[in-house]
Amino acid sequence: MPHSPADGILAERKAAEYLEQKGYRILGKNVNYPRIGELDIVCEDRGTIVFVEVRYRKDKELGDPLESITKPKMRKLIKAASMYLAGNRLEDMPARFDVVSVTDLGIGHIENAFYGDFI
Amino acid sequence: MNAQVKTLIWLNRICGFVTPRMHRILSLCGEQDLRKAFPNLRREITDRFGADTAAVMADTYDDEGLLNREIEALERAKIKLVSIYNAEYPDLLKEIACPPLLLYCKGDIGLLKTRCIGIVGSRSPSRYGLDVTTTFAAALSQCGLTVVSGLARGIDSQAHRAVLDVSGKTIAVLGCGIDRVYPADNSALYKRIEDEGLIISEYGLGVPPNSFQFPERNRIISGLSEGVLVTEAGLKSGSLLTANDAISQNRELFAIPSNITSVRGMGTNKLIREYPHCAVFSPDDIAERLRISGHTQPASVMQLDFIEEKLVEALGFTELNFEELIQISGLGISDLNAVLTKLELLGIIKKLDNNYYGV
Amino acid sequence: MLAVIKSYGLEGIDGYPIDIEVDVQGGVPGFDIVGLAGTSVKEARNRVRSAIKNSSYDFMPRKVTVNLAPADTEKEGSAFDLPIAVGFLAATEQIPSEGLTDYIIIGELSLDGGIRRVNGILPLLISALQRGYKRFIVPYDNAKEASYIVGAKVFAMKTLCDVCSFLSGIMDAKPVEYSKYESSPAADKYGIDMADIKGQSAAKRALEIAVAGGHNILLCGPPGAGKTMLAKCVPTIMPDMTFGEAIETTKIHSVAGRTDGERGMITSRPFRAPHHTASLFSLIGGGAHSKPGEVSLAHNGVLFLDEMPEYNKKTLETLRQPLEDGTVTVTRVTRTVEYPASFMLVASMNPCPCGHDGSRFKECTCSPIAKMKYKARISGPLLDRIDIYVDVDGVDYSELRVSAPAETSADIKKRVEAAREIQRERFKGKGFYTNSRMTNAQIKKYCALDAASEKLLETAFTRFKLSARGLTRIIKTARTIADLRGAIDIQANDIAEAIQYRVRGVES
Repeated sequence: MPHSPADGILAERKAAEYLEQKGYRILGKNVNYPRIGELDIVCEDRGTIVFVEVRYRKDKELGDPLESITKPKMRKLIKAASMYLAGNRLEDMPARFDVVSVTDLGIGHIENAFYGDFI
Repeated sequence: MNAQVKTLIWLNRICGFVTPRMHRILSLCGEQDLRKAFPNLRREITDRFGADTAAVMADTYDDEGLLNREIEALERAKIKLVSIYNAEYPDLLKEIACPPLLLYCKGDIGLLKTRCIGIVGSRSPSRYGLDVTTTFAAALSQCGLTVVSGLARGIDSQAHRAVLDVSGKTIAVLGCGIDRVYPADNSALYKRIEDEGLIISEYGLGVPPNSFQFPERNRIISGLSEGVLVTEAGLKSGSLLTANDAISQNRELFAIPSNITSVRGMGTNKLIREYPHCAVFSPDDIAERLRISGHTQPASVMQLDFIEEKLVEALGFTELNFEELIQISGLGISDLNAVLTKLELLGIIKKLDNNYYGV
Repeated sequence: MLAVIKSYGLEGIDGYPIDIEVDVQGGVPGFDIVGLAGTSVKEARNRVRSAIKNSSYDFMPRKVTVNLAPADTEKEGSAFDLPIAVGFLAATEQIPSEGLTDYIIIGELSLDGGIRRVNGILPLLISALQRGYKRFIVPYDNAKEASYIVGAKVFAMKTLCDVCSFLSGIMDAKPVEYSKYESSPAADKYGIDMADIKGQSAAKRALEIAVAGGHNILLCGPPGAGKTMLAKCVPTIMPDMTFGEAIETTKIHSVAGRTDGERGMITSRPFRAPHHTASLFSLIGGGAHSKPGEVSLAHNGVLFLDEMPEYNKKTLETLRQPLEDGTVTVTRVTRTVEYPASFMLVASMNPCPCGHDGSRFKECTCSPIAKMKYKARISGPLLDRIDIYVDVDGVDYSELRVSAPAETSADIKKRVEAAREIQRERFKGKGFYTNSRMTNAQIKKYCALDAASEKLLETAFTRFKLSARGLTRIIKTARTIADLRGAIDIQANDIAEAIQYRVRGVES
């Protein structure tokens, strides 16, 4: 069954709930920089800014959610993250990239999914 | 330029330098000049040599311009012509079955009237072959003989060189056009013979070294000579053909024995088996057979000590390698090296390949 | 946070200090290495990241910038992994940063946090010690190599954890104990001895002279005559390597990554026999990383060129510089490196392309032109550097059965060493110590000839059509022959023997 936009929105909501449960403070959702990229969730974990990319999969058969993040996608996220840090005067804060995968079976969380030098 | 020679130059081109054919055509006109007699002979020539030949002859027999161009080219190349009708033509050569009608010459044509000995042999000789060639060629030359050979690689070149080195006289008979140097690496030697000896060929300007011409050349080598010496030849050497020519032309044949284990001397050894009389052991043997006053080189007076004498004597028998020399002399390596240098400097012994020494 | 670690880089066979600055900042996480770092250095970031994680340290997501100063020299290799990792841990305050700069840290990391051996430890240590650095942290596998350097406090470590514990003062470690240098006779290493070769007295004698005077030698003989065997025996009659020579040679082998792990040092004279298809780079050195070539690996030993005319002519031409100066300059786009390359050249050739010219057993099948071309392939200038030429006997079966005891390498070596001693005395302070390297002025000074010798040379000059250079070579060789006798003056006999070793047949 093809994904509907509603599935995505639902997944992002689920992910945010999950992170809040873990004690993360949500700073923003769907932060969009036109022609650069969009950050699904921006939150803070004990002094580290966390940029979260949410991936929705109906089941794991289509592969690991992390695999679905390609290099161009990473590049977009890194640029957007830099914009966010600069725009909010947070340049000196440590930051990281996480991936949260939402499937019908449950939620997975990968911390430090990639680094800025991966591209 | 007399008319006979001109006719021969013309005929050479017509017949492509094939001498037997020229003889046959010339036999038709008897004493007359062929070109003058041609219109009368045309029918007969057509019958016997084909219409093509006759047609070519008819086209060119009165073309003085064509002939003059060739003569000019010969003059420019400083080539002298000796025809069978000339006084300079060697008498001995006239005796052979099919004597060349016209000799293209470079150098001293006076040598054609001297007493000659042919020296021929393998193109890839052994050290021994080269050595004996040098010795015999030099000695025979010093007896006053002119050494005739074929300017081929190996023995032939060595014979020419050895003679020139003792300022003797030598004739090179080519198997290609008189102006061609074959093999090309002999060009320096060619020049030397041209200056100090004589180069002859029955082939005119520009004739390439076709393989069938070399056996023809061999008959001239033996034809010019009172005797032919084969110094070293393998079983397939062309010099064996020269030896056959010498036999059929009733010339003396000489061959130098080789080591029976030597592949390169099997041809000469075979000659000796077939004609036992041809074996010679020194230049004097040849001089005697040709009834020339013997040539003996005055033994050089050299002071050799006991060990040196012993070494020279041992090397006189056979080539020896360094290890064997140590045993014979009983010397240490460094002393033996010093002695060998001394003997080498005196010219008594020679260093050969693979650490062998010989006299 | 910033941490600075001292490390060392290689330029040719000399080192230079490198400051590794590791800066850790907030912001988008990343790992950058700057300072003209080559690909192999850049790849450090992945090894460092994994090694840190797998050593149970925290690889925090931070913006990490590593600078290798001086930033204007190109750096290659994996030896900076360890200092970068240590720098990161110090910058993130996982280990204390005091006292880190007391150490030069070198090592490659494996993903599990282990430390792997690196090339060039010996030259690094020597050069760093000269600049006053005393304490080193090196891979455990390089310990043996490092143990010969007296004065250095070398700590050999197996893992990143050990290094950190040691630097934090949690763990104590003892510096590597010094090893005493002991040369090992080449006869043992190569398992071959002059006594194994039957006959060939002339060639053996020529080799003895060549080794005694440091002369280059050309062996000529048919295939199967034993040229290679003779050449392999050359190191066995050379004097044992001194510590200085061993260090020099090891330095080169270390840079090329060819040290013997067990012994750590090259203790016997090298014997290098590059094949004739060897490329210019592999022979002379160079290529992308300016590695030393065969001529340098043969430093203080023997370079054997089997079938010399088969080598590419251009390749042979490039041997002229090392034969002349004892060094070789390798020029690349980015830098020029000079390596020592002082070797004894032992070359061999067949009498002709098929090898049977002059043989008593087989007929030579080569055309005269092929023979000429074969011999012309060894150029005159190269021949000028070859003092001794000797024919090797063709195989003689009667001789192979001879069981008369031949001299052993050890016997010959004794004579060679005595002759070398005389030369060392003679050339004290001249920067060289063999007769082969005498200049014309020195020949005049040290090779006075008596009347008989002069006469002999003169006769030989005209009779054998020698060249002026040929004469010089004969005199030098005669000097060595006299030295082997222990004599002060050259006698006519020495000259006479030397004349036997003149180059024949090849030059006309």
